[in-house]
Amino acid sequence: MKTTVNINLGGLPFVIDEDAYNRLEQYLKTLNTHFAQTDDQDIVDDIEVRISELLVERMTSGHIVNLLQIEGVISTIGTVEHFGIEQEEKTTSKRKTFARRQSTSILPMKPGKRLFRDPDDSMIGGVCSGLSTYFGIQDPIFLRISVIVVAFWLGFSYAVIPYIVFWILLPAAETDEDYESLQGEFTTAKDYSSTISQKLKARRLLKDPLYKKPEQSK
Amino acid sequence: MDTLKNTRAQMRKGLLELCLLSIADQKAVSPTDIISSLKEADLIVVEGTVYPLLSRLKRLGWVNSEWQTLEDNPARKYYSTTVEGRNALQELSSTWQQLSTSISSIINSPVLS
Repeated sequence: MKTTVNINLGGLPFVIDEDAYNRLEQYLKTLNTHFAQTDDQDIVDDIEVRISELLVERMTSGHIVNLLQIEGVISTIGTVEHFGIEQEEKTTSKRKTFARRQSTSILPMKPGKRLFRDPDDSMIGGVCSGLSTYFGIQDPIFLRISVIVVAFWLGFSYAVIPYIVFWILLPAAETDEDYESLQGEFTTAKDYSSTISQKLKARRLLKDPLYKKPEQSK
Repeated sequence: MDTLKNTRAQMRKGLLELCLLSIADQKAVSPTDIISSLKEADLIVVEGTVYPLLSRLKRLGWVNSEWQTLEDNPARKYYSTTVEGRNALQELSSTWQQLSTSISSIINSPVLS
């Protein structure tokens, strides 16, 4: 004897075994979590519709959906890892960051937030812009001016020596995750949204060898 | 091995977008129609690949979706290209034509010494 559940999938009613139901629910949950990052409920809705169609194809009417049929449908649609390239890119770059972190983890800071130099937005070594981003200062120009003021006020060495020390100690931010941890915003399924990913997209564009960087005047 | 997989997936992803646009350009299609065309052409392995791409095209404003009901069936979403999508399709297909000619000329030609 088995418990069955009544469900509505893509506008069609199904009677489904409890274990099959659990498997289906788990699958849909994984999809939901994954696509929560892209803010697109449409994807999961469309997939639900597809699942219902595939189930109809596999069933003789009046029968109860079982685990085997659900597994069949899932393998036809595939799991998130098999959908495309996005996931793979992410794991490779994470691996890279992890390897780098192990070798260059000087200056351990707050968990989730780390200091980097920002070579994408630099006048000399990207120290000021890295520090500004880390402390949430909008524009690195304030820090740059302060450094110059200190240099003239207290003497040149008071500004230049700390700058060089930072330059040597701080690793340059390379991967997207580096930039994220510089800003202290960590990639969780939900956090990876609007502003930060837009910033990263702009960065990626700048890094693209096909994109011509506008000439920077010093 | 990983690199090869990655390169191949990247290549296919760009081209799949072109295929999707071209399928949705002929008439309003459901994801199921798109899937069967792509499967017929042996372009996808798992069906799920289609959905994130479709969503991306929608976000770019290249395709629109609308609900349609056929006879007694439950309402289904149908996708079709927008004006921008049609322009993009033209650009992309001419790029593809050029690329495929250029690339096959390189791959197939003997190495010049």
